[in-house]
Amino acid sequence: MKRETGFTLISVLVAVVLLSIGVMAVAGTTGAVVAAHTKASTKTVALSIARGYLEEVRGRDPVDLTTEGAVQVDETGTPSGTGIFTRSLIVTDVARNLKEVRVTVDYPRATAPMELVTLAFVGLAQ
Amino acid sequence: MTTGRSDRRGFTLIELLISMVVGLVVLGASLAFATTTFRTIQGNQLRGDVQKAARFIGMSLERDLQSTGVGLASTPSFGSLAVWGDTIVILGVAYEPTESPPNDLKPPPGASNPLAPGGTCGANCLDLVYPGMTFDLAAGDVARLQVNDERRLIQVQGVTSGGGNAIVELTGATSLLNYQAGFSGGLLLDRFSTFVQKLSTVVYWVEDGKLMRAQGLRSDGSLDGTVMAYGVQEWTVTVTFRDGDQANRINPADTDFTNDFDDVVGLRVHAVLAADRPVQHVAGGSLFTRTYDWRFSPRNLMYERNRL
Repeated sequence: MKRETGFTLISVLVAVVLLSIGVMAVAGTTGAVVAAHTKASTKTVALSIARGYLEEVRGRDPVDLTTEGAVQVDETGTPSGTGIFTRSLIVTDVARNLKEVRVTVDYPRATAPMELVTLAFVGLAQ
Repeated sequence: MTTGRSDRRGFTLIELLISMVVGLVVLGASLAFATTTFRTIQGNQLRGDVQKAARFIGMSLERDLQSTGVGLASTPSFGSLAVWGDTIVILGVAYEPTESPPNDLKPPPGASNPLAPGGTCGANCLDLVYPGMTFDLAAGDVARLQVNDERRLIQVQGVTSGGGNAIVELTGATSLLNYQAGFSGGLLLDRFSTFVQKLSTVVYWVEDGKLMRAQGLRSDGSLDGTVMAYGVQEWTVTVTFRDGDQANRINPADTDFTNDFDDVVGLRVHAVLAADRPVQHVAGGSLFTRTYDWRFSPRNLMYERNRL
């Protein structure tokens, strides 16, 4: 009697399942790497917008610094209706001659908005 | 019907074909995956290179602008920060490692004031006294010549110094870095109020798509530049004035007194940087570019302005 030897259906299925788990893991890692890269570059842009705006704000007369509402800006920090970044400025008096200046830049899928804080000396009372 | 024959059974044709097809599918899939990964890496590298160049420019500018106006407050007609076209000029008193002192004029005997046109030891020559142990100006250096409130730039051609006195020969340049230079325009030296002080100069400009930076001048007065970045497609420099206005030039000569050198509080650079080569799968095969917008508020300009 001739004995048919070969893989059983079960063993083939197990092999396929194992292979697909492996492939999924690799694909998942690649996806995560791409997502992390995108997030990192968006974060870099958000940081440069925040720094640029903070520099601009520092150039203003500290006496006139006040809180500003959210503004939609593009990747260069220019106000734009199609920009994906949201920039806002919060100014609080921390002492008689000192203001805390907080620039936040929010962007889609941010874990937390990019936030830069500095203190501005208002000057001696007139 | 020998049993030995069936023992040496090989793969059937069908088995071989199926395994080859499966093998091909797997090979094709992994090849496609590898290609995609390669393209992604290539694209990331290209973007990363542009980003790296941009960060280098931003940091260099920020670093250099911090020294704007160190020991040198701007006047309406002479600023520690000047721009024209794509050029940025940053001036400050040199710190090597301490602040370069002002060296007073050693006036010739006599009583006439102001002095006769020209220098004190020749047409382009100054007799100076220096306060320290050594005279800190050497050939090629750029310095400011201040006569009362009038400021000029000068470039040193040669120095003979000793015993607290220095004889400084100037190059005959009548214009340096867009400022009036030397004794041009009939400048008369003041017996009591003339001094020379060494300056540090940093100049940025764009030349054939390259961002150049020069620290100091060559002995013929030209800029001794090194390349900071390639692929600069656009480079627009704007200054911000005290009242919030922005302009691409500073104009002390007109009747507007809010756009002079001492009104400058900030600098803005708008740039478009391009990758060094086009890549087929990035930016649709054309050259990848990215726009940057840097803003700087040099601390000394701000402190100068907010001086109370």
